[in-house]
Amino acid sequence: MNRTEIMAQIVGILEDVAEISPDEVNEDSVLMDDLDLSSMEILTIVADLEETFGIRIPEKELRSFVTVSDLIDYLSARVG
Amino acid sequence: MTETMTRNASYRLQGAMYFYRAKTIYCRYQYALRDPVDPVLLQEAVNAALEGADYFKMKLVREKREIRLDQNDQPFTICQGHTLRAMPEETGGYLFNVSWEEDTIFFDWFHFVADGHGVTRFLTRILMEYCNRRYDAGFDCPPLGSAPAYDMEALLAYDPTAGEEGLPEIEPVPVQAGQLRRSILRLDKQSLVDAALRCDVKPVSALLGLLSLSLQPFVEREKVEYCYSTDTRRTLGVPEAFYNCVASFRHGVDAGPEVRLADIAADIDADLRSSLQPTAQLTQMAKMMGWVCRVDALKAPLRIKQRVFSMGEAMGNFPADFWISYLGDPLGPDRDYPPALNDYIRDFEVWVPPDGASVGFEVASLHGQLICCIQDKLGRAGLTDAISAVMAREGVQVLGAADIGPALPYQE
Repeated sequence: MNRTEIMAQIVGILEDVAEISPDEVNEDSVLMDDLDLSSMEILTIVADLEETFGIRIPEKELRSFVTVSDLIDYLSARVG
Repeated sequence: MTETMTRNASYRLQGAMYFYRAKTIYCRYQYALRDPVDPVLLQEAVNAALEGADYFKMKLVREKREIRLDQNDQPFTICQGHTLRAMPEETGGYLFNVSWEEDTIFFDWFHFVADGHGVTRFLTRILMEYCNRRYDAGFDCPPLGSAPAYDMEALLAYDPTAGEEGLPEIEPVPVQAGQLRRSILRLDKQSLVDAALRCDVKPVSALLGLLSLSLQPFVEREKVEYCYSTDTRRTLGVPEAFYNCVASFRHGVDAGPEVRLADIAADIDADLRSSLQPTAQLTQMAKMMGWVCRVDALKAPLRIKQRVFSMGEAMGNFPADFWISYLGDPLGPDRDYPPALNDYIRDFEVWVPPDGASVGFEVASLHGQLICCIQDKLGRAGLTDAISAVMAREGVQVLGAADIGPALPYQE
C-alpha cells in the first residue's frame, strides 16, 4: 500500500471518528492542534488503524504521532 | 422501570472495566470441606442461594456498540470436576460457576459481576445452604439484598483527571510474562501478627514488607513496586454491594539486601493507612471509573472500545513488581456469618491471575493460617524458598510451601 492509499484510509477514519472533512486534512496537519483531536479520539483512530491494517501498534509509539505524516510514515514502514 | 432497565442503570458500569480489559479476569475460590461433596445437595444449595440473591441471575449481552445486562432465566447447573470454564460461554449465560470434586467446591466467577469482597457473601450463603442440607446445621438464610448502584456522577466529581488533555507522560513498559506457575505458601498467622506488633504496624503492612524484601533479589533493583486494592464499599455508602467497589493503589519501597522489615514497615504502613482515607479512595476510584465511563461513552464498536481502554490503561500505568490482594477471612471479610460454618471448612485456596504485575499474591486467613496463593508469570524457580527464607529471618513461621503447577485454563 502506498502513501496515497494510506492517507486515504486515515482521512476516512478521521471523518468517521471525529467528523473531520477530508478537505481539512493534509500530511502536515497536527493531530491535536490543527485537527483539534482529543487524546481519546487519537486512541480511537489508532485502534481503527490497527484494525484496518491488521497490525498492533505498541503503546510506546503513541506519543510520537504528532502529525498525520507521522502516522503515514509509521504505517508505510509496516504495511507499505 | 423494568428489571432489565434497573440492572443496566445500576450495575453495568461497575463491571465494564473488566469487560473492556484486554484479558478476561476469571477468579476462583475453592473450599475444601471436611467430607466428600454431595452433588445433589450442592445443586439444591446453589438453587436456594440464587433464589435469595437475585443479583447473580444476570447475563451479559453484547451488542455492536455496547453491552447490557439482562435477567438470566435459565436454570443454573453445577458441574463435576475442577476445570475452570469460560463464563458466560460455558456456564449457561451465567457469570459464575460452581463445580465440585471429591471434598472440594470450586466457585468461579468473571470479575465483571463482582469483586472478591462482594462475591463472598453469595459464596458463603451457598456453603451455609449446603451445610443446612448436608449436616442439618440450622443456619438462618434470609434473602441477600444488593445495594443499589452508587451515584456515579457524585463519584466522578472527585476525578482529578476529568478535564485533562493529551496522552500521559509515563513510558509504558510491558509486564514480563512467560510460563505462569502457581505455588502456595502457608504462614502461621500469629507469628505474622507478632512481627507486625514489633514494628507497630498492621499485619498486612508487615506482609507487604516481607514480600517486598523477598521479591527484591528477583527484580534486580533496590526499589520494589507493588500494587494493592482497597475495598471502598463503606466510603461509597454501599456496604452490601455485590458489584465491584475497589480502588487500587501503588507504592514502592527500597528493599535492598541490607534492609530489614523494621526499616520499611512504618513507611508501608503510612502509605496503606493513607489509602484507606475516604478522600484518597474516592479520588483513586474516580480516576479508574472516569476512564471506564469515557471509553463506554465512545460511539465505536465494542472491539474498538476494548482496544482504546487497554491502550489508555497501558499509557496511564506502568507495571508493578507484584500485586497483592489481602482477602482476610474467605467466608466473609466482615465476619457476618455464623462462626460454626468454619467447622465445616477444612481448607481454602484462591486463584486470580495477576493483572499489571508479573507475580500476584492472593492472601486469605483461615484456621490460624495465612494462605498465600502465588501466581508467577515468569515461573521463577526458588520464589517460595526466597519468601520462606525472609519470613524465617523476620520470625514468621512458614507452615508449608508447595508448587501447585501451571496456570488454570483462561488464567494463563
